[in-house]
Amino acid sequence: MLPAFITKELLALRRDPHALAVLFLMPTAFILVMSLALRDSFRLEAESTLRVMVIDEDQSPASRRLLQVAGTQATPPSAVDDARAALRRRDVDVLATIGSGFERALAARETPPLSLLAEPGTPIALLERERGRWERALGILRAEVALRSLAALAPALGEIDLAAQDGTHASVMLRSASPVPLTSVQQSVPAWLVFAMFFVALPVSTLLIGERQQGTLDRLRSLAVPPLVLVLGKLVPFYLVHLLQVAAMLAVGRWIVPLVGGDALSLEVNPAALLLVASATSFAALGLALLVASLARTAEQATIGAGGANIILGALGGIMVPKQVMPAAMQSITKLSPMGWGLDAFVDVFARQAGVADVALGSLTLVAFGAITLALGVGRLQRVA
Amino acid sequence: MSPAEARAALIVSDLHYRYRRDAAWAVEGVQLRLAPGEIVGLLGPNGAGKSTLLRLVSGLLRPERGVIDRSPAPAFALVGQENAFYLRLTCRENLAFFAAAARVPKAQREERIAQCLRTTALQELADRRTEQCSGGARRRLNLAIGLLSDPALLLLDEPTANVDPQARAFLLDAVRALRARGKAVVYASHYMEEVEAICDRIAIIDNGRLIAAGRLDEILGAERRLRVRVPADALPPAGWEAEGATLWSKELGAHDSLSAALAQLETHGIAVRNVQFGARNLEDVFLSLTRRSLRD
Repeated sequence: MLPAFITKELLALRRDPHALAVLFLMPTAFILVMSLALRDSFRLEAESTLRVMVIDEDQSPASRRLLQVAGTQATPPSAVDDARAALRRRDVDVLATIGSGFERALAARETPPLSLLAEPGTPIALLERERGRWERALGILRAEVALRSLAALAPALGEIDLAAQDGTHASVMLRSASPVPLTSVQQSVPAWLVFAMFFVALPVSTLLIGERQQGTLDRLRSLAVPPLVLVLGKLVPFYLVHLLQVAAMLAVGRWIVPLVGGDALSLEVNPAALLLVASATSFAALGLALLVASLARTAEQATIGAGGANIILGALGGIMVPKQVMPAAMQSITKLSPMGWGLDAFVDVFARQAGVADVALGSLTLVAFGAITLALGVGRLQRVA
Repeated sequence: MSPAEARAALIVSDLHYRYRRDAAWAVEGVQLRLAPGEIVGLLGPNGAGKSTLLRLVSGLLRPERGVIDRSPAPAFALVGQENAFYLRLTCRENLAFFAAAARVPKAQREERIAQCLRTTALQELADRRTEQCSGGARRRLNLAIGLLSDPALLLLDEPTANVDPQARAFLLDAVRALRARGKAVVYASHYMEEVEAICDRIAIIDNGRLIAAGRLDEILGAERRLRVRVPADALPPAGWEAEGATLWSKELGAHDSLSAALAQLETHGIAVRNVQFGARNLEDVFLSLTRRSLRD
């Protein structure tokens, strides 16, 4: 009897364009957009560079030395007004200004006037890298000033070119602890996959409400279909849909995202751990779906309830805004959302090559959540019937 | 169990049900018996308790008191008021799904589905999605699904609601054909014409209680109310009720004479313009018993 229920659900779903769009098209679109949008936020060594214009208001040997050490040139004085306009027009991303009095402040060991003016929306990671470049150059200049002050003791000290000795490259290597660094696509695919998996609440609840309102559920109960078959008749087909979602979103991350300029998703994962996390997330999502279906009386209520609950859980769980860019307090809030649990477990699988043992606890939490919501949902459905 | 009981398709005794402990009875003291090949019409206005009674009989509700004796599922089938199937599936896919749910043996499913499609004249629509079918075709499919398990007892709840006259005539013929095949049918409706047309026996239900039951001629014959049309300014004598400005009525006992009642009016100098005795139809019976119309 169960195969007939599975076939029926899959046939009905296949002919429901709205449900298919929510379950497959929506996460695909989010993965593509967010993988590109967040690409630089996840790069440890960003490839893209900022367009920087420099205004040297000091025009002193010290300011020219700073430009030399920083490896850049100042905009000619005649073009200073144009530089400010270029920032407003977004022709440049950052305007670096060496203020007048730079040399005097440096010699006096005061904070020299050096500022970066950034166009709003410039990736923070790139800005930080730019600031680091100037901080390093300034550090070298300060050290040179200190050495020159010691030249009375040893004249050779004043001749040392620290910039040449230090080289022009960053001296601190930044590497990921994992063989596969966390990129925006490694984050976006699990995030929007989890979001889409929880969105089964929408088709499941509208289907169940339709069955209740149209008397189909009564007809099945009058035929003495066992309650277990009725429940499994919803869980099994949508579990299969979840597995299909996992395969489809992995394919999008692996092959479609690179087509639009993003990184390719690394598929160097432990398949058993991936299946465990996918199954546990599926169970949690289906439990929540049945609970929403049991609480809603109409399809409209189900749509608003399921959609609203998903968006709130998604926002709390670090789906929409990656946990990495959240403040510490907000990061701890992600632990309240089952989507956050699912996301953490998926990221462990994708970015940390976690094995079954590593994701067992997270999976167990998801299964426990699914069992509780499922019990509440089924209990309420029985009372309503 | 007596031989008569052994042959009964359904026996309902002293059935009581209410939706909440503090609510009025939705079904109160109902007795019903149905033999194979018999159609019993369950007639009553909306909210009278017809659907509740059918849900009790089909096991969807548990009675507070009373006994329901029938074969277990799938030897009976409930065909409810709603089109209880899946709109995104074709007629054939719906039938295949419900055949599995009704535990029709795999080897018999194809033949049974074809038979149900024939019985309900849905062969040409078999592979059309039901959301693209007309209202009449959907009602026929609703019935076809009920026939899949070849049940001995069919519980039909307003099977012709919202269908055109042609589809209604077809459905009534289909129900008659079921009787010919020995099926017992409970036919719940608020259309007295349908109930009069196809039912062997009729049970009139109101406020959860059966207020009349029997063959059509028995029910109509039991009605002994005399109604007369009189001038507007007259006053009714003792024993007469004014049902309207010019309509009086009087319930006659089994031994009361019709002529004596009319003579009473003549004695009071009342010129009777029109006389009606007994019930012309079930609407009259219901009106007489409840003072309300079936369509209220």
